[in-house]
Amino acid sequence: MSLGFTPEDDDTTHPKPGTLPLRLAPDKADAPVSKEAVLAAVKAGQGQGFVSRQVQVDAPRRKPGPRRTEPQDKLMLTGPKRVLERLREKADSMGGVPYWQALEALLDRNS
Amino acid sequence: MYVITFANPKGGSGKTTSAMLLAEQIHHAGGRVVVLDCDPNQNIVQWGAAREKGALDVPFIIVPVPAEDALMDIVDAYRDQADYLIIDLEGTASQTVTYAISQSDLVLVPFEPSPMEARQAARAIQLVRNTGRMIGRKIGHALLLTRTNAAFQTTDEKELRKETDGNNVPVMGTAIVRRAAYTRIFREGAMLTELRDQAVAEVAGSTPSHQERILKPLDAALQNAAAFAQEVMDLLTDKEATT
Repeated sequence: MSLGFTPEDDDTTHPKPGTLPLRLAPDKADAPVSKEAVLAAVKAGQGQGFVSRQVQVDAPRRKPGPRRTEPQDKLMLTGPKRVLERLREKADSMGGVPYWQALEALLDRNS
Repeated sequence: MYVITFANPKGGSGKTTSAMLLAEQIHHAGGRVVVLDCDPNQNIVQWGAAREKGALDVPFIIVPVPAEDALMDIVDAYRDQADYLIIDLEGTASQTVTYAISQSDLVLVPFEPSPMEARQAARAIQLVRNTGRMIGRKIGHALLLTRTNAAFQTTDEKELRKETDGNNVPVMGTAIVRRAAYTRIFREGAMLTELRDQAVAEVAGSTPSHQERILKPLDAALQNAAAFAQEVMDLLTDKEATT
């Protein structure tokens, strides 16, 4: 027969720490921001080093050259941007071949 | 809907922990929460997955953000489903940070008070201010000290508070103290309140001193999280009052 004793409630034995219930912030209306302004801010942020870190999976890659069966050398080209751009475009127009192949084709054509 | 972003270009500064503590507190207070996990490590996504695997309730919507420019559309998509949208960013200087800041009502910059971390935090604050100017809107922001010592204030912390006072950079009064419970949240896929409930069950019948030793750190963690969340709510309320 029960005498009416009940086990102590855990919450009474170990009351939760004495913090007040969180008072949420009042509801508010959303203020839209124009996409153009955001894009301008993103561009400005790039100047502060906050740049895109996304891997460009679809970035065009230049085709590898043929097997290196002959001696290789290196040439670092510095010159007017417009000329080097033309060389890039030429290589692209040939199907993304390495720059040396584009140069070779130009040299062969003019010799 | 309020958008709260945790940003710092340095990794390991306490962004994810702070975001989780806030999300849990808002959830317990009855707010609808969505968390955008922009960190490739996806700690919050994994936390949610661990709970689902353990047949536990996932108390808020967790969304992994796959691409930088997808963020704005995702924020818009949740405007009607959430009262609070919390963005946990990756610890890197990426343009996702700028996208997130531009959508935010409040940006919190968590960092451990040390000179090296302070420099990265200052970069984030500068970005918030510049972004606010560019989009013509005042974006609330504050530094949040993390992993501080519960017992005393270090010299670095004192120096930092002095410098930020002098430069008009707001610093939250509540710091996220270094607590073992905060790492257990992620290790065990738990919420703080659940850890305490578990502990209460475990110490039942043991000596009062043992009970105190087990429960006291958890109570301190809960009080810390509650004080932090309340200060965030107050910052949002103050910002609304001044705009």
